[in-house]
Amino acid sequence: MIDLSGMFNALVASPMIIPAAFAGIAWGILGGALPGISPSITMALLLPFTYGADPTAAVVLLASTYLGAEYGGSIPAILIRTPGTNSAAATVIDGYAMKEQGKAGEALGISLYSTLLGSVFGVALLITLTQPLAAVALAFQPTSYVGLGVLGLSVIASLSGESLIKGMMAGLIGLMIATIGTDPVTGNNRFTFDDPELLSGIPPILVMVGIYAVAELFEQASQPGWRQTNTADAAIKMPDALMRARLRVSQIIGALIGFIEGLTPGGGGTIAAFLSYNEAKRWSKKPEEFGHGSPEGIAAPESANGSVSATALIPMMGLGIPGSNSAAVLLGGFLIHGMTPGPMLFTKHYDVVMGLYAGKVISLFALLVVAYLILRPCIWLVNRPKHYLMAFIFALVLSGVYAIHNSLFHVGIALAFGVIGYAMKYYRIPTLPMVLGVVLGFMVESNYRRALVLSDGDHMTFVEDPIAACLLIVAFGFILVSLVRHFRDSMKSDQKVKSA
Amino acid sequence: MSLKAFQLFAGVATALALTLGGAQAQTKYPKDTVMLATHSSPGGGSDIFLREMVPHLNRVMGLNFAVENISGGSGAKAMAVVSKSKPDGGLFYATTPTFIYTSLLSKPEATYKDLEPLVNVFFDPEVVYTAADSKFKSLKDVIDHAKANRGKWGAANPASLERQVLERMKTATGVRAAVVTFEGGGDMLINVLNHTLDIGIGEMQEIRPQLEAGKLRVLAVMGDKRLEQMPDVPTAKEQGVDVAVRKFRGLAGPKNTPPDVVKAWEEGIQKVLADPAYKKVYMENGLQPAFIAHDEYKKFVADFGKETEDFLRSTGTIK
Amino acid sequence: MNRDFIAGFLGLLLAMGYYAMAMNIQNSQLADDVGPGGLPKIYGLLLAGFSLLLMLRARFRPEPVDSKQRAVAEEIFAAKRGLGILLIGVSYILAVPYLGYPLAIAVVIAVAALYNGGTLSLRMAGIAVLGAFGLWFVFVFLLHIGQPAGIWPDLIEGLRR
Repeated sequence: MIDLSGMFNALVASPMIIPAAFAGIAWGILGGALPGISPSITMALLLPFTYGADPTAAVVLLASTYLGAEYGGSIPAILIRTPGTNSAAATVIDGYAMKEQGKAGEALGISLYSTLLGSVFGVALLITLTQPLAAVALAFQPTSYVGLGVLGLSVIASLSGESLIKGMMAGLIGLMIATIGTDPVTGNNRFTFDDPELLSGIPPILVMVGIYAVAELFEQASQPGWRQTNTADAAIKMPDALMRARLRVSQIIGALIGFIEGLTPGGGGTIAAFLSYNEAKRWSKKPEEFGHGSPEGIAAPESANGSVSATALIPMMGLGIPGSNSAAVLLGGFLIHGMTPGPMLFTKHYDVVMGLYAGKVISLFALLVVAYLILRPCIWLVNRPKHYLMAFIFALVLSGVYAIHNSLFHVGIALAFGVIGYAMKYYRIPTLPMVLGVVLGFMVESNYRRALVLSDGDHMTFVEDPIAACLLIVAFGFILVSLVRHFRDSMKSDQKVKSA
Repeated sequence: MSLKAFQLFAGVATALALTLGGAQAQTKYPKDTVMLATHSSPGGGSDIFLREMVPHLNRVMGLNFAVENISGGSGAKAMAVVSKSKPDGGLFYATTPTFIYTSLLSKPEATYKDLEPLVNVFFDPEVVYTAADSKFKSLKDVIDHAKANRGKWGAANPASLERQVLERMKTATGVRAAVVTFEGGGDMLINVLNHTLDIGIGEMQEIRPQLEAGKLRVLAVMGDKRLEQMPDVPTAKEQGVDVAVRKFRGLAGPKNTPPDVVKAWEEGIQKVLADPAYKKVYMENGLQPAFIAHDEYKKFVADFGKETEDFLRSTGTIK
Repeated sequence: MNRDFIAGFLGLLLAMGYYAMAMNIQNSQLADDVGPGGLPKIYGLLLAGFSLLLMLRARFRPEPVDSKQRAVAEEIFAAKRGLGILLIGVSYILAVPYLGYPLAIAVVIAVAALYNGGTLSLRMAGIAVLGAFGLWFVFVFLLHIGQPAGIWPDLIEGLRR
């Protein structure tokens, strides 16, 4: 089904595709790297400028921006513990831990390599199988999303490290944060204090920037000797053969989960990143390294991000249904030029589709080139004297968080989550379960209730949907195994305490 | 984009347009550059409506129009900005029923009552549709099925005009149906296509790709009259379901908009709606031209607001 | 009284407050069986349960020894230092509507750098101004984010008249 000559012809017909791919990647990395500027905002800012452009170059520009932004989020996540995008928050955990160990260049290399592999996988599927795969999106019912969400939440049982109780508490607080805003079924306001700014809920990025970046700034204010990246490691270092072999499993997991999330509307990159982080930990040979600078902990979410940035185009083009905000902006890009994505796109505007495919392939090279150029100055920047670095991180956070809805109220929320993150560290409550709750809470609640409305309150509906049934069985299996392991471990440690 | 930066940018754009395109005959409009604001993000419904209209409006009215997206609070922010702006014809807000719903559901700084409706431009017809391979051939089939069993009907958003239509349809026919809401049209569309839902309700534009591909069947138009684009599809009223709504797309400005500005718009919108080049664009998007003059439009919006408020109050969604 | 006990207590307070608010969510005739308050109430109860468990466990089990744990004095010192950063942030939120973004962010850069051990110098002022310009360039000029303009536009207009 690959029409190489069609892609080549489209390239010859509109050579502007090539600069568009490079420009999109560069712009995307910039937007993605700024906390608060989401991939969809980065893309939307370009929309007005594509009006006059060649339609093929316009959609290539937007699609490349998507990939660039998904990648760009990982750079500040690794270097300054500030997730640039929602989906980069999973990268913060091990990426920043590696940076602290003086392995920033290596972490950046792993992230670039994994994003590239994930997007190669995604682009390959996009080019070969868009039309048949678009149908897969139809298999997902509200019940299936509940299964997906519960599988994601089930990780809390294994993630919570020293204390399962505290992990559950953090997860519940996350779920509570996700209930703020308009009720998904009735439209009632919940926990909004009648403030219109809270109507659409608290954007997850505020929570993540708060508990990771702002809390770290609070913490570092009392640490005079902030560890600096080793200057010997001041360049990006691509993984060697040994490392590549180690990363393989986590990258496959990331690419596959990214593919599924890209296909299913409402999923989106953030959930893919966290799910693949969790699964990579489950299947890893060294799960204990996760959270303390595991290369796999970077590889899995980053390859998921790369994969999503391509596979999200499958339902958008094949069905005309955007799976995420970013895909919706791209859909807008098509509409502006009088093209309606959907089953007929492939017959009516075949040349544009081929041009987009060609552009996606070019954007992979563009990512490699632009990332190499951009990372050196980035590493230089984070090696500046500590007081300046901290001042700029703070200024960046204050500026970026405002940008989500042009709201100073949001800046206040991010600072508040900084305080919460600081307190959680003091009380040794893990933060990751809370982030999971925030990310997955709305999806689980809205689809759970939706499924029950459809089934007239019958919970058997979750067993009748094969996708939901499988996901739920896997989730409960994992919870059971983690619980057994947890109690065995805590019995052991209790004995230790007694004997000591 | 800040207003100041924008005006600078727009000013440069105007200068360019004037030198490149040749100056248009200048009207007595008090502003050279007019900003049209929407709460929808780029690529969203109102955004596309404005952006597609702007080039034609530039030509017809001889002014420079520019679109600004003021997102946040489902329109709360945009309403606040517009209501506080100077009534000099320089800034208008693209209205849809959303701004009424937001005004009623939350307590925004400024509500639809703090704005002055300018003119209406379109009605965006709501249609009820089902999967092409489903057993429902008419609205009557759907109602009969819901009478015998339990209907499953989908609306894109929880507290929205679409939801209201389905709830009214349920009351009018007295059937048992689950009204399921989603986070947007695409999400719901999938559940219609995979037969989780019997029917869905939405705007023509949302379902166009599926319609063209023959994957969906439109069962009824939820308006007063049939659509020019689909003359074969009967209205709900024709099928014995007495429910009709008019999703409007128009403009509103700050209070006390000067009469000469209103007059310029009343003429301009009528002219642009008659423009063949623009007509081709909006007909393709399934929009119905529905110019409503300023004085009538004020009453229209007020009535719509009252009706919505009654609905939300009677269902207990608001106090 | 150890940390876990206090953490459990705080969790319990949060759970109770949240539950009380969940009780007050208005019910709608459009509601499903679960209702808008359904899951929030369950979350509240579960959080209360886990918080109690944590408090209970803290009563009967000694606090686990943590090699990285800081002494109380150190902890208080760290919290005070962190509070300073928070104050800078809060001041920024309060001041930026008046000062305008470029000036306010320049001040944040300078003050935060000073607070974190920098010394006041012409060089630092230069870095703050350049940094503020850079951020303004990226956010306002390139990305068209409407950062607060402050009182300046009105002031200039007032002077012109």
